[in-house]
Amino acid sequence: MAKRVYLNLDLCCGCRSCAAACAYGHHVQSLLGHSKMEVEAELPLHCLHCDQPACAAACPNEAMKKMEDGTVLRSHFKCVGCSSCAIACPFGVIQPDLTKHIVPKCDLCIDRLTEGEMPRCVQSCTSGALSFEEVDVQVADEKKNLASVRILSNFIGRRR
Amino acid sequence: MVEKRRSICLFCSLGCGYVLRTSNDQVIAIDYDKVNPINTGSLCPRGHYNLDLINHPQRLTEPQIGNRKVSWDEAVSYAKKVLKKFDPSSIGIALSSISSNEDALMACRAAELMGTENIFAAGDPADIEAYQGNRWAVEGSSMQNLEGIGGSDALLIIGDILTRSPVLSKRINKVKYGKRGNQIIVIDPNISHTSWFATTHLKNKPGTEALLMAAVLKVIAEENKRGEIDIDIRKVSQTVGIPADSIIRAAKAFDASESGTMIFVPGGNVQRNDLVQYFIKMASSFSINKKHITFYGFGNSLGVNTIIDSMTKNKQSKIGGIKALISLGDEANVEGLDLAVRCGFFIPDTIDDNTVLLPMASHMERKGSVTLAGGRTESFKPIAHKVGGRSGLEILMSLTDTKMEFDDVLDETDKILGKGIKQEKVDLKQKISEAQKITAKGSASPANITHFGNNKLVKRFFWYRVNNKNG
Repeated sequence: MAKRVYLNLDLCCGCRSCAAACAYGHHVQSLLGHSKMEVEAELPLHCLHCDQPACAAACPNEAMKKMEDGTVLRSHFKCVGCSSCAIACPFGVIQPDLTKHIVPKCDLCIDRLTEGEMPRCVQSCTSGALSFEEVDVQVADEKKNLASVRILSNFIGRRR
Repeated sequence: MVEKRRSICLFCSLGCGYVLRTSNDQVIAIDYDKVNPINTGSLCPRGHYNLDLINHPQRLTEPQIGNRKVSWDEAVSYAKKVLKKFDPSSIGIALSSISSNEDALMACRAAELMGTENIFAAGDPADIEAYQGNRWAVEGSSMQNLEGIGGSDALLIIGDILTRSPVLSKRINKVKYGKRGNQIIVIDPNISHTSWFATTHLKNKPGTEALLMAAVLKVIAEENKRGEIDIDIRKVSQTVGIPADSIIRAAKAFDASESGTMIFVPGGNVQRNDLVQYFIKMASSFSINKKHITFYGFGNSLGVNTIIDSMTKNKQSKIGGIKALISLGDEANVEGLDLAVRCGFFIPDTIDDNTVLLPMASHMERKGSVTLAGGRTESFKPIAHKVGGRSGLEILMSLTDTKMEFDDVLDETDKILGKGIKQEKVDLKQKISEAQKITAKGSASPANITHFGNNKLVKRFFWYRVNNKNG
């Protein structure tokens, strides 16, 4: 089965080690976006590797491609850096680097997967918030709900 | 052929492990050490910089006199010749906070040979101050080890631990989501990454941590019938900016837990780190089954300070009048020097003509041992090619014409560290009154805030926040 990166916001401490690991693994070019929720949390924005990728449909040069195992990969050679995919992405996880004319895109660390290891962001995660698990198991797992108990309770606490 | 070699990180006092992938002794990439019990494969952003420490383009590789590149022999003989012209009392030796214990011992020896008493640990002044608090004797207090943090029922965290050592977050999460009723009390003026996880966040005014801890100590002493402490919690709550109720409730909740850990992070925004350190030691001796642990800024602050303290008589605060400085590491910043022998990792921004630069080997290129948080001692060995550098030990030996085997130095450091930190008796009442004096007026003046180094901008900003922002 295909494996994906999952995030448990309850555990995340916002240390950004996932982003640092990504940058160090991909020649100081971080492929991982980062979002900041004021006061409550910081969270990595991982590529979801969609079933019907909008980025691949938008690409004029067929640089984005869905592979057999389900991952959406970007060809370094075909990409012209037009950032159409970044505009098309419904989750905003593709963030173009305008200075270098490159569109960085998560490749799930294929070099490590072939060695039987986890992606860099999951391996380096200091709090255990990121996990690399099979897609079907995840849906039933209670711990990986999208809504975070910690952040919700912080909200309620502040409104009082 | 790609090899995987293990080493430890010295960028905070946790000492995580990591793996460097090397090919023909050249470092290629950083990898994760799943076997290490401290971090079990995770690594914080700062841990990744260990790769840069070796492969950095601005790494100092050759000795320099001013801007002129010279050989090792010439640089050392020049430094020795010029150092002889100075009066011994005007020579200073500064140690870095990631120097190894052996470097620290050798530096004390070198200071003896040169006849100077000016030896100090550069780096975070807050660490040195917190170390002073460790010297004050308290009976019955016990230090927590890293494994114990995850097993405790309550945490009292002073400062922002998750910014300093994010790898601890697995253990803190274990307490947070482990058992119903577990307490995490955070004392921090800011909303920080640590305070996200707090069950109770005591948001004090900046610089009043010592006073707040004195109040917490009073509550704990009363609960355990360990005598009265002369401090008025109502007055404290006015100065600190937290309601008296919530101080008392938090302290009682911490005291009532089965096993608790107090985590202290010395820092620039804490006034009188030594008092806070002393109070948490006192609290751990008063309350049943409570332990304390301190996380210093850089790797070997504890080891370097312990060795300097036990080898020399002079207090670090009395140091002054330095005209010639031998510094290990890039941290020492003394103004008005006639000669600076800088043993560092990187090429500085500006180089004067009276500066001698000697490239130093980092902890991945040499042998040595360090003392980390909780008194844990770890040793490291060379795993990568040397970038033209020598260890601080070798440099100091050549500057003073002494020869010692590494194993002899190691034995001696073991003996000194085995004795532990020097203890001196102090009066609790006096320290409590000192804590009250710091913030007697309710707000701090910029003169009282000492721990920002020479950064006047930060100092002024801090003063503005103390006096113009309520709560």
